[in-house]
Amino acid sequence: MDLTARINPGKLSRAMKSADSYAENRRPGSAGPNGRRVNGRPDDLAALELSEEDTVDVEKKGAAGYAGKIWKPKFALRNHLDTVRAVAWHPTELVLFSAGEDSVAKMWDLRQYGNLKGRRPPTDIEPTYTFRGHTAAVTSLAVSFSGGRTVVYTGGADSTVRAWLAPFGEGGRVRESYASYFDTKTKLHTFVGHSNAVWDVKPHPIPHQYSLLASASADGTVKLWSLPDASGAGGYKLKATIRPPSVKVAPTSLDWCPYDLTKIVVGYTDATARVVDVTKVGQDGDGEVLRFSRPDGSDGTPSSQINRLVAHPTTAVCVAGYEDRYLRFLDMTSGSYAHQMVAHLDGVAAVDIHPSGLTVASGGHDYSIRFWDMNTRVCSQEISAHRRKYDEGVWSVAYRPSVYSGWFASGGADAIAKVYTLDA
Amino acid sequence: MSSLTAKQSPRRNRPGIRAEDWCSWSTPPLEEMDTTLAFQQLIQSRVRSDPTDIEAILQPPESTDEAAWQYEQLRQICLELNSLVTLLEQECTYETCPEMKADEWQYLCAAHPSPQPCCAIDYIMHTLDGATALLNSHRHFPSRVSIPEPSIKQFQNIARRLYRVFAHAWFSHREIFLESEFTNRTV
Ligand SMILES: [Zn+2]
Ligand SMILES: [Zn+2]
Repeated sequence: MDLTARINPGKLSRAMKSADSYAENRRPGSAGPNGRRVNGRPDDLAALELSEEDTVDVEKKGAAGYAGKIWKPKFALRNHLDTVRAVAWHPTELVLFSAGEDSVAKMWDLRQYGNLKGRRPPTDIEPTYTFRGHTAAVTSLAVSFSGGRTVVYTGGADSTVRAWLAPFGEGGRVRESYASYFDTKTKLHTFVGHSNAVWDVKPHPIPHQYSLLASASADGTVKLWSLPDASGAGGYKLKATIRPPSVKVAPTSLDWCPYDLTKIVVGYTDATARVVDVTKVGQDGDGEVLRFSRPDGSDGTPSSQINRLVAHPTTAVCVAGYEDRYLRFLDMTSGSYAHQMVAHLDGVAAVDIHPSGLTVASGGHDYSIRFWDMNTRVCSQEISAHRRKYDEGVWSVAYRPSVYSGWFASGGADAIAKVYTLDA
Repeated sequence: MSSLTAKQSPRRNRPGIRAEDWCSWSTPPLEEMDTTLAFQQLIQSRVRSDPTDIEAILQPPESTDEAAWQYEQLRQICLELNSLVTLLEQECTYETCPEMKADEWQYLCAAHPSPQPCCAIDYIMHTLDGATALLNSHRHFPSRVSIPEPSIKQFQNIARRLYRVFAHAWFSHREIFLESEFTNRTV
């Protein structure tokens, strides 16, 4: 990429000159590109009609949802220069991490804004740290906290998975903005082994018992990597490779199963999913213990693929968002679909389950986020969350991992990460 | 064309796609881009189709809000600078470059309440962080399609500081600089 020429003095002065003359030429109240109205889109959600079988009407409970509480936007975190692909919370602290197509991940220490006591939230919040190292879009991010250390794992379109030590200030306090990068050692490891874009990465949920990391790649495989344990013993090693169920099929999303901590559930581009016993990979059947064949009505192509799946924290159920607009509830005792419903007006790209297991959040390319009751599957709230770029809207949603969690975050194509609180 | 391909599939980088298929779609004409991010889409599609055709990348579309166009160009330059800095970081250290120098000029880092003599790699990252924060400041740039007049003068400050990053790479880390010039990346 010829960056010099892009920013060479001649060009630059031309750009600056036009910037200067712009001040004189500007028409007051001029519209955006080509004079079109570009601010805000009509709210598609208002026109929502769900007529298909097995769908659930959006019941606009408003303030009646969540025992009188609804999610309200609190902060808009602007610092990524392109689509935000992933957001994830620190397991214990009010700290958010985000990953973007601008090849970087960011750490947002929000503890100082946790209780504003009625003060207005600041307009501009800067990240406390930018993780640079990937050489292409960062697609996925997960955080683990063990032995006092916060480790961030990222997967990228550059085929690598990376481990980073999250930098906190002295005594775990907020790191000073614009502290020295050179003095801050954050790069722990680069996992090399995948031969194409990495799309998901998940450390084992109990890191001090199982030092394992799983990653899913467009090379078709899921790889399991060993990590150093809490005492620092052991190294970063490739332990096993789970091959794809058929050729030209790639994993898109994976999660560890809380009901059986030796198992992972993996979703694929052909709309199938499977549960794999990680202790039996390499044996007959590659450790597969359960297979979800593609759902009825699905054509088995990427236009109906699984985009995101999350295992339920207390039951053997997995909730998956599909490119064909469906949310499906996968019964991991039988391999059947317990429920399915059209959840968005366009592909469902993001799913998360509240740590209590009682509600599900989904995000879609219709730019909206919806909250669902896990048992009744009634939609209790919808938020028009992100503006689109190309045909992309919401890419990631995340509840803060605490049973009493009143914090939520989303990331989208408009390069913004948003934080919400549950308010009366 | 078969009826199957006739229907435009969404312009979307779905999870699971291969890196070489990233953004493998035709970009619609600007007037069909019904989004506040139309300029970013246009600039990035030009960069993808020929990253060396600088004239084409910089050419503003007709009857364009020029400030908004330049704003998006600066965002894209900062975005691409991330990868140059990632390369630089492997070679530019406190030991090699304890001061931010380019062609015998020494620069103080303006990212702090009072300017500091940060080492080159810190200067570079602080400058890039500062420019990124400024371009993302809702106070200065509340919209990506209409730039408030007082904020337009910031463009010059940002461009001047970013230029020093290129200058340091050129004078002190020529090989990396040239490598970055010829690296073709996604986006
Ligand atoms: Zn240097
Ligand atoms: Zn500095």
